[in-house]
Amino acid sequence: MNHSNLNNPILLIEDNPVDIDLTLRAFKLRKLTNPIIVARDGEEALSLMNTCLEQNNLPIVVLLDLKLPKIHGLEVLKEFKSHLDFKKIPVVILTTSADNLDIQSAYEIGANSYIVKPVNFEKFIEVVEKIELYWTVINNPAL
Amino acid sequence: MTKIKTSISTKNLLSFPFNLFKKKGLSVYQFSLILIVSASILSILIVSTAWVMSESNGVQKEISLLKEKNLENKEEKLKEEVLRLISYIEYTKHDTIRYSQEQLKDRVLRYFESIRFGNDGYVFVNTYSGNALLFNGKKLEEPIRMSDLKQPSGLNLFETEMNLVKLPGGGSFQYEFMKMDDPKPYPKISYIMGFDQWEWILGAGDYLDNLDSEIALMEKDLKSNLYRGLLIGIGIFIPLLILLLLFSTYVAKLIQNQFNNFVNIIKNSPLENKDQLPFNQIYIRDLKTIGIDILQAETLVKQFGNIIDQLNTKIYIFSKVNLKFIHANKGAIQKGGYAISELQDKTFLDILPTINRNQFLRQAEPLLQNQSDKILFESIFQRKDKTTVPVEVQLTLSFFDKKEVYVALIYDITERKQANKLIKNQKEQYDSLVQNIPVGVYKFRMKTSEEMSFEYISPRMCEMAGITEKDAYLDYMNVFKTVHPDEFENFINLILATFHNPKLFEWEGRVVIKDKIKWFSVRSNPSIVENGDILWDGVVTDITEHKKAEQLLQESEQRFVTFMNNTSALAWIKDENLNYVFLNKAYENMQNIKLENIKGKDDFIIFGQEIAERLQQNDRFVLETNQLLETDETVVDYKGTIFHALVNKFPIQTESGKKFVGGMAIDMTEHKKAEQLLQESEIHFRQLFENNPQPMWIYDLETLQFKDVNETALKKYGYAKDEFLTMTLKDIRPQEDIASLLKNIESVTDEFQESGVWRHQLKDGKLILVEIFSHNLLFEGKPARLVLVNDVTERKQTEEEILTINKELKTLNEIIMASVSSINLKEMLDTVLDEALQICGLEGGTICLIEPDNTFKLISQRESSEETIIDLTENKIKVGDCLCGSCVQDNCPLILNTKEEVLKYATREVLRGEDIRFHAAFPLISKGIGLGVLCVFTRTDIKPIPRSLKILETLSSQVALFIENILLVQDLENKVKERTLELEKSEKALLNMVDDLNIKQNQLATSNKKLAEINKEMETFSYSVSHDLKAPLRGIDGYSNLLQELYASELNEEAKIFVNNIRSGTQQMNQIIEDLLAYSRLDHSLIKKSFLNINLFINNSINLYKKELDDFKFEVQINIPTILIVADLDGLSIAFRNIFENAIKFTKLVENPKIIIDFEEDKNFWHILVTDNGIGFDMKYYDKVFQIFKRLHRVEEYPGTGIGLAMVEKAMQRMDGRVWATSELGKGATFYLEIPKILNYES
Repeated sequence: MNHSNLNNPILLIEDNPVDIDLTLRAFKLRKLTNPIIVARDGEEALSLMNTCLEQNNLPIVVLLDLKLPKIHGLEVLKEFKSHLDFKKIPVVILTTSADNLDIQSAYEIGANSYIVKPVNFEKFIEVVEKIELYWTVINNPAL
Repeated sequence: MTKIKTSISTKNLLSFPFNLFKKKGLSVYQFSLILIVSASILSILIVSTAWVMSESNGVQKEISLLKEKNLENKEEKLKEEVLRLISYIEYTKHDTIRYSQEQLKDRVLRYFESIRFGNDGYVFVNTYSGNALLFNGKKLEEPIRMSDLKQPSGLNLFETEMNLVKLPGGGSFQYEFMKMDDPKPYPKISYIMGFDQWEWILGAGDYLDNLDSEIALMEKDLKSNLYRGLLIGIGIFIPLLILLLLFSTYVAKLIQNQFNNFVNIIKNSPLENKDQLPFNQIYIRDLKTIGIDILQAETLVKQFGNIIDQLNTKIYIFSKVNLKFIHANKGAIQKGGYAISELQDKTFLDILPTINRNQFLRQAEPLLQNQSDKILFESIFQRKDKTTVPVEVQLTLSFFDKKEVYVALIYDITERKQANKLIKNQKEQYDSLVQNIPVGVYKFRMKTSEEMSFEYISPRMCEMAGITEKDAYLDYMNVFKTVHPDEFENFINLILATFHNPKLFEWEGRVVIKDKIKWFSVRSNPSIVENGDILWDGVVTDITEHKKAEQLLQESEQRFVTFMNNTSALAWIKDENLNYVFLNKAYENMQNIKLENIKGKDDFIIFGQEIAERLQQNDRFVLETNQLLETDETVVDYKGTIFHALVNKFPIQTESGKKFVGGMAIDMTEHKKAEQLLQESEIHFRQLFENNPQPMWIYDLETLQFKDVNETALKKYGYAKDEFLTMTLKDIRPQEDIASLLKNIESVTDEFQESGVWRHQLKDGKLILVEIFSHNLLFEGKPARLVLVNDVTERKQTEEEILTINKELKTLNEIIMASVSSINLKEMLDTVLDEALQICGLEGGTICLIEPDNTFKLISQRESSEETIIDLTENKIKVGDCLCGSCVQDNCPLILNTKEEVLKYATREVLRGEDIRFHAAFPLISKGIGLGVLCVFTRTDIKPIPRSLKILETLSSQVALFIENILLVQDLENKVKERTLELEKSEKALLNMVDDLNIKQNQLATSNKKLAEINKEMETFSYSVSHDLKAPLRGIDGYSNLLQELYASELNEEAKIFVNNIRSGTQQMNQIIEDLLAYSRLDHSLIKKSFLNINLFINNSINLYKKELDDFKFEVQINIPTILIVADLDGLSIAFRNIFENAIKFTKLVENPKIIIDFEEDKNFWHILVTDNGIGFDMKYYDKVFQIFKRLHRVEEYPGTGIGLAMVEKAMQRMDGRVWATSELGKGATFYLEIPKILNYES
C-alpha cells in the first residue's frame, strides 16, 4: 500500500449533473479520503489533467463516462492513452451503456476497467466503494 | 504253536501242567522264577499293545501334518502365480503408446483368461470398486457387480478379497466355489494380491478336492505302513513268544524235574507231615495264569496272521537258508499269479528276476548283521505271466515254525514312479520356465539394526546383474553398485525411505552391467517378520529392449505426430470399432475439437448420424477388404461449412493383430466448387450458345475451320450445319478482306476481344456489316476461338443516317444563320443550293422562284448546262409547263432515279438532251403558296441516299418558309429543337438499357443501405434508451434513496411509502428497459450456430438459479442426455433461461414445487420440455402468453415486464425453432422449445 495513494485526486469526467452529484454523494457516504475533481466534458478533462501535471499531482484514477458533449468518452480515452504522462493512469469507464461495441472498443483503446452504472442507488454506492477500494488502496500504480 | 498244541492237547488244557505239580510243593526259588517269567510275558504284551496304539496315533498326526504341508505348498504356488501375473502386468502396462489404457487392460485380461494351473486352477480379476472383470476363468465382456454374483459358500467374496488386498504381499483364503464346468461348490483356496495402479484385485485360485484324495492315498499308504509296523511287531513278538514258550516249557520242565526231585526227595525222606506242604495250591493258580496268557497270545497271533493273510500288500515268507517260499499271503497270490503249491518249489529270487543271489545277500547284509531291522530296496517284480512291475521290497527277518525266515513286503510302485516322473517333468518345466523368463527373484532382509543383506538371490538375477552369487551374498552393495551413477542417489534414497515406511517398492532405471547400460525394473513387496525385520520379496526385470522399443516408438511417434500436425491435410486413425485413436492438428482445427476429448469416440459425436454412417461405411469397407480406398467424402466442419475432401483410407495392422483404419483427406472444397461451377457454366454456356439470338460459332485457331455453330448463325448465313462445319473463316469473308482477316487473327489474344466491324458474306452473296466479339477457349483439346457476331448492317446505316442528319442539321443551322444574317436573297439561295448539293452529294442543281406571273425565274444554279440556263432565264417557263413545275402544283417532290425516267418525264427538250442520270425536284411552298422549286441532279451514277432527299424536301420547305416570312426563322429553330430532342431520346433509350442492368444492383444497394440504416437506428435507439432513459432513472432512485437515508426522521409514514413506491417504480422501469434492450438486440445481433452439449448447457443454466431453487425447496428433475446438438447458443440461452425463470416464478409459492426438464428427439427436431406444477394458466389466454407486454397477472402478484416470453418466441424464431406451451390452471404448465436439426439460417 502506498500512502500517497490517499492524497492523489480522483478525476471524474461526467456531464450529467445528477450523476455527478450522486457519484460525489456516494463517495462521501463511503468516507473517501481522496479529493475528487470533476470535469464536465473531454476538453475540460484534458486541461484539468495538464494542470495536475504541472502541479505534479496527477489523479490516482480517472472515472470516465462515455457519453460526453464535445468529445466522446472514447476519444478522451484515446487522448489519455496516447499521452506520455497520462497513459499510466488507470482509467475506469463508468457509464450506463452496456453495449458490447462500447466495451470492446474501450478495452481496445486501453481502458483498465469497464463498469456499468447500476440504476439502483445501493448498488451504485457498492460500485463506488469497490472502485475506491481497488484503485486507490489495493492497486499499485505505475510510478 | 504246534509245540504248544501238542503240549496241552492231553485231557484238557489245564490238566497237563497240573499233573506236573500234582500234590507237590515248590521251593521259594522256583516260585519267584515263575513270577519273573510271567511278569516279563505280561510286560511284552503291554509294550506291544502300547506300541500299536502309539503308532496308530502317529499316523493320524502325520496325516494332518501332511494336509497342512500340502495346503502350504498350494498356497505358495498360488502366490507365485499371482506374482507372475503382476510381473506380466508390469511388462505390459508400459506399452501405452500402441495401446490405450483400456486396450492394455483388455490384453492383460485376455492373457489371464488363458492361464490354467494345478487342479482346475485359474486366474480371476476384480476391481477395487467391486466389479468382476475375469470371473470363473472367463473374461467378462461387460463387468458384473460382484455383489450380483451368487456365492455357493455364502461368503462375501469381495469384502474378503479387499481385506487381503490391504495386506502387504496379499494373502490367501479358503472357501467353497463352483468349478468352471460344474456349478457344485468345491473346496478351494485362492491367493489375492492388489494391483493398486489399476485398482485391480488379482487372484489365483485352485481347488482342494484333488488334494484331499491325494491325502487319502497317503493316508492309506501310511496305514499300510502301520500294518507293516504291526507285522514287524508280530515278527518280533512271535519269536519272543516262541522263546517264551520254550522258556516256559523249559521252566515247566525244570519245574517238573524240580518237582519230581522234590517228590522224590519228599518220597524218600522220612518226613512225617508231608501233606502239610502248601506249595501245591499256589503254584497251580499261577501256572493257570501263564496258560491263559499264552492262549491269549496265540489268539492274538492268529488274528495277526489273518490280517496279514487278508492284506492286499504282497507278503512273502521265505527261508533264510535257501530262500525258498514258505508262505505267501492272499495279496501275494492274487497279484503274483502263483498258487501256494507252485510257490513251494520257487525261491524269492524267481519273482525278482533282475537280481541274483549275491546281490540279494548284499542287500540283506545289514539285516543279517543285525545292523538294521528292515531294509528297503527297489526292484522289478515278475508275475507268473512274465509281466513285470516296479516294486519296492521291504525285507525283515523273522521266525516261522521255529525257522528263521525272511518276510518280504512288496509294494507296487508303478504309480509312484509315474508320479515321480511327472513331478520331475513338471519341475523341469518349471525350472526351464524360470530360467527362460527374464526375471530375477530375490529376498532382501532389512534388519531392525539397519543392516541389510540378500537372503536369496536367484541365479538368473545374478546373471542379469553380471555378478557371481557369492559376491551378491557377500555384500549387497555389489548388486546395488550396478545402478547407473546418475540414478544411484535416487535409488538409495528410495530404499532408505522404505526403512520407515515399508510399502510396495518400485524402481525403474538404468544399470551398468559390463559397461553396458541396461534398464531394469525392480518391484518388491515388504513383509515384516517376527523379529521386526523387513523381508523384501522382489522381482527384477530387464526392460532394456522394452525401453529401447519404447524410445524408438516414442521417437517415431514424435516424428509421426510432428509430421501429421504440420500437414494441412486432415489425418486420423480409428480403431477396429471405428473409434478415434488419433487425429492431427488440421483435423482438430477443422472440427474445433481436441484429440484427448475425442479419443475413443466415433464420428457420430463429431458429425451426427447421417455423415457418420457414410464415413463409417467406407471405414468398414477398408477394414473388411484390407484394401486402400480412395474416395470423395463430404463433411461439415464445426461452423457448418461444407467440406469436400479427397480421402485416402487404408488399413493398418499392428504386429499384435490389432486392426486400425487410417485416413488422410485433402480439402477439395474449392476444387469441387470450381468443378461444379465449371459444370454449371458449361451448361450455361451451352444454353447461351445454342439459344443465343446472335450468331455464334467456334473456329479452330490453326485451321480456321468452324467447329461448332449455333442455329441463329446458320439461319443468318444461310448454310446447313454440316455444310457450315466444312467451311473456314475465310469462306464467309469477301475475297478482298481475307488478307486483313489473317493479319487480324495473328494478333488475337486470350482476352475477350472486340475486333470492330467487318464485312461478312452470306451464302447468297449479300454482304453484311458485323461486329465481332471473340474469346479464346479450348475446344476438343485444341485452341479455338468463340465468336459472337452482331449484325450491324442496319445499325451502321442508321448510324450513317444519324451522321447525315447531324450534318444536315448543321447545314440547316448554317442556312438559318445565313438567312438571318443575309438580306441578299440570291446570296442566301446560293448558299442553300450549295448546302443542298452537299447534303445529297450531287454535283448539280438549280433554284427557281415563281414570279408573280406564274413563271419560273432562275435564281441560282450549279453545274447546269448553258442551254438550260438560257432556257430558264429567257423562255419564261410557266409553272405548269415544265417537269419541275408539276411538283409545285402537286406539292410533292418529284424524283427521277434513272436517266430513262428523266427522259420519260422531262417535258423540256433541253433537259432531255442532257445526260442526266438522276434528278430530283422539291417544291418551295409556304402556307399552300408555291414559291419556287429546288432541283438537284447528277450526270454521274451516284445515287443520293433517300434520307438526304428527305432532307432536301425539308430544306425546300424551310427555304420556302424563310422566303415567305421572317417568322419562318423561328419556326425553323423550333423544328431544330424538336429534332435534337428526338435524338436525345434515342440516346436516352440506349442509356436506359444500361441503366436497367444497374437497377437491380441499385435496388440491392438501396435495401442494404436501408437495412444498415435500420440497424444503425436500432443501435442508436438502444444506446439512447440505455443512456437517456436510464440516467434520469438513476437520479430518481438516487435521490429517493437519499431521502430515505438522510431525511427519514422528517418523513412521515405516508411519505415513506411514497418514496418506496417511487423506488420500486424505478426498478420496474429499469427492468423494462433492460428487457426491451435485450429484445431489440435479438433483432439485430448475428446468430451463429454452434455445437453444444445439451446436458451441460441445461445444468449450467440451472445452476444460476441454485440459491432460489434451494430457498424454495424446489425439486428439480433433469432428464437430459449427454449429446451434442447444434443451435444458436445465445438464443437458446435466452429462451431457456426465460422459460425456467417463469417456471420458478409461477411455482415457487405452491407446495412441493417441482420442475422437470425433459428432452425429446425426432427426425427433424430436438425438444426441450420444461414442466412445472405451478399455478399454470387458462389455455383460453394462450394467445396472450407470448405477446409482448401482455401479462396474465398483476405486477404485485407476480413481478415481470411482459417481455420474457415474447423474447423466447423471438429467440426461437431466429433459429427457425418454435416455442409453445400447454397448461391447466392450478396444475402447472409445460413449455416446449423446439430446435430444428437443420439450421438454414446464415444470419
